Amino acid sequence: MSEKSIKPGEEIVNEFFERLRDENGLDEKTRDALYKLYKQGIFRKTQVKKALDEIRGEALGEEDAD
Amino acid sequence: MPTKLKKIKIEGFRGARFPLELDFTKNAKSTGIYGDNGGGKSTITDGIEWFYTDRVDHVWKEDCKQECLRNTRFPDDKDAVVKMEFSDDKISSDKSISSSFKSKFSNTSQDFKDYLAQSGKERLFLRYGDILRFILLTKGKKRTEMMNIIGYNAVVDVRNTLVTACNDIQRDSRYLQVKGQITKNEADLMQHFNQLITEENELYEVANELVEPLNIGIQVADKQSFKQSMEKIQTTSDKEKLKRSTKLSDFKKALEDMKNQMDKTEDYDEFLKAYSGILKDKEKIKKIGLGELLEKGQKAIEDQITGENTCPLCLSEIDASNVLQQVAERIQELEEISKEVDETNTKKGSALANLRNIKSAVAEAERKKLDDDPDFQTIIGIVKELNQAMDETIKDTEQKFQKMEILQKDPDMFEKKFDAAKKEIDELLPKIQEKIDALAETDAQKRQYEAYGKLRDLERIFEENKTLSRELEIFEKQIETLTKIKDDFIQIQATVLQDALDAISGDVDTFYNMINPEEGVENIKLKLIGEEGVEVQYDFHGKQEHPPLKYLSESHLNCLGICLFLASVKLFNKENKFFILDDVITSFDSDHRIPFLRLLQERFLDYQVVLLTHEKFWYELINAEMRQFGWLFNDVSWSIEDGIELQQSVVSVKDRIGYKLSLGILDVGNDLRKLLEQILKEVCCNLEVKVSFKFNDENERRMVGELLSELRARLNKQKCDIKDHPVLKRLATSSRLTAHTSHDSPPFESKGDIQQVQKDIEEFESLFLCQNCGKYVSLQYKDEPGKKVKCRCGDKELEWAFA
Repeated sequence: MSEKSIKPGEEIVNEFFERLRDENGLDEKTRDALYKLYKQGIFRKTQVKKALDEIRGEALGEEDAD
Repeated sequence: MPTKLKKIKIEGFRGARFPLELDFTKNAKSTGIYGDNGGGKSTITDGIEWFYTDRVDHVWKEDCKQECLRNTRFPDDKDAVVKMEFSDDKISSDKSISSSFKSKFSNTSQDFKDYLAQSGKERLFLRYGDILRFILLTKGKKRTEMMNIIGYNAVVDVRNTLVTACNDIQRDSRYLQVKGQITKNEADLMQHFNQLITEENELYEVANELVEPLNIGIQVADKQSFKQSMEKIQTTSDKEKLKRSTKLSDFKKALEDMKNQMDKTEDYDEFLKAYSGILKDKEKIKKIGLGELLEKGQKAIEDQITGENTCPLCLSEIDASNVLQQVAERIQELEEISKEVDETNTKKGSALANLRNIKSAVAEAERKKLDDDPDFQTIIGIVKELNQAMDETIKDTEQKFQKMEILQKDPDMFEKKFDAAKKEIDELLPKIQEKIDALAETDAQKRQYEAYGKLRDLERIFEENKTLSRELEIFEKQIETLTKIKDDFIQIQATVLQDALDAISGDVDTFYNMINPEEGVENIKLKLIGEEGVEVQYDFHGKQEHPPLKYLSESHLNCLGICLFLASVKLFNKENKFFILDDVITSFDSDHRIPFLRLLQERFLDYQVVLLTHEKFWYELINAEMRQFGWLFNDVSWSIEDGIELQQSVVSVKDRIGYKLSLGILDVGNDLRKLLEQILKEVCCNLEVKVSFKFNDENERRMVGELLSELRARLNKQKCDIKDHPVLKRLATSSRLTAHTSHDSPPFESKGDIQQVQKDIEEFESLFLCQNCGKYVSLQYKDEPGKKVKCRCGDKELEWAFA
């Protein structure tokens, strides 16, 4: 009998993103945006691009306002 | 409790025109099913596959979909159904498909939905055509396939998203443009001020160096004093001349920049070189289009669609295993070409940024043009033309790459027009400088104009770089973060995948060596090859080798494929404790078949196995080996009238006749003959009626007439009390029943005719069958004095003169 067990893919991904939240040394806004997309179930290339574009746009917009 | 199969009923689906019922009993027993090739066995696997996955892969691959699921002779007003009854009744369900191809489950409970979702991830069936599929995949596809088998689709999706998002952001045209503009600005600073200026104090230092010689009494120390110094220069100068001088300077700089940008076509050149490399051998590009065909051909040969060793395209004779190996190598080669195309695609991003920088410089020159000076008319014309031409070049580059068409550096554009522009600019720049100089009547004025122009440039470049640097900083933080997350994830993915591969490898190696002991293939392992691939490694007579195609025969490759499936079942199936093997042992020689059955006995006794085969010899071997473990056995046959059916029990044939009559179908001659044949076989077997010996299958194909004749002779010999019963004569003289097939007998014209024959058969059966215990009279139950034979309970008896 095989005694081995394999962790489901969803669990591996979930653990990774949960760990990511506490990861230091990363750009927080990018990290949080990726986490949010994953949690919303829309972790896709186009959504990531859109989120990153928005982060840059907001950051530059805030500086302009300053 | 793990799930097993209690019953499968298929009706109107694929080959099953009438209800086809497989009863695994309440103990969910393993079953062997025999049927000739084309006998419809696969309808059972198709039904199970469709039930779980909503598709039948081998049908879908032929571009036939839902429209091929319903039996073509099945009435339109009825839904075709696959009914699955499981050991856990809560999850039993029908799945039906209407004539408008709408499908639905009868069970809508959450328990069933959860079960279905989990089962979708499990390995429940293996067909012959799929055995070699994994082994012949390229390394990259093996990795993807393994991820699918393990259920790591979620991992694959996240990985792919991270990799592509990471690549995309590094190729983002805005990112490349920002980087390019900063570099250009820095070059300008070096050219005009001999230093890079990134801090405000550096800006003011340089501003003071420009302002001090003008003696305007302002010390530049902040933004305000910087602005004041420029206003002061304006007020102390001729405003119109200063304005003109500024415009001329701007135009001159725009032309200088345009000329510089036109000289920088390295990225575009590099892209064209790489692109021409992949296009040079036109065959390479054509080959990419062959990928799909090769994969389909590979599948067709594996499935033996046109026979075991026949080319599916030209139908000539081929060595299938050799061709499969060549095809696998060609697919690998195509993957490498695709990778090359991908790399060129990356270069295309830089090339386009390169062209856009030139276009941007040309557009800036057009914006800064001074069209009130006849000296500038030529360059204005050139700039206008170039501006439009650059747009076309960019568009052309994108389109031709997309279509994989030949793309060359246009000599009219990059040589003729660029050279003409550069020549004109070279001639014009001194003239513009002269015009600027002419505006200043004195050296003091000249210094003022120059200082004013430089202060403007300084301020513009500094502010622009400040904004661009901030944008670049954000981009780079995002890239760094995304790259780190991607690298971490790939590392995790590699670790979990290798863990899974190690886990599965142990079983594959054990199973393979149980079937092929001491044949020199050991330590079979699935290994990660780099980031992109998985390969099957093994020791071949002590030397580590891969891939399996290198040394293993077709039969051994098949065995490896089956072992991979079985190891996956053990490791990954959490919900279901059953699996279906559809004709998978075909290429095994006899030496390996019994070890395979022993493997099932030793390692899969707790599983319910449904094993389908078209080989009679193999079926009999399974019967001999597995019946002792409680396996059931069924035969499947196919006819154009009835579709597929099991070689049925008396009860199911009766049900079938009743079912047909309820639909108004009078074509039951064959069924009635089969019913009588089954009853006769039971009676003859129980009364030990002897028939002449025949070889193999022929022994099973006893005609009703022959059986009836021998039975009557036996009854006569034993002076049985029913030997002269009129029903025996009626049946023996019925041409409808005693012919071998219904085609040979006249059809029934009315339901009444059918009912009369049914009545005769029932009457015949009742002579031998006990209504109380449901058993036929048998020599096994003779009475003590030896004058009668009885049924099991003794209620039914016949006079029997024993010798």
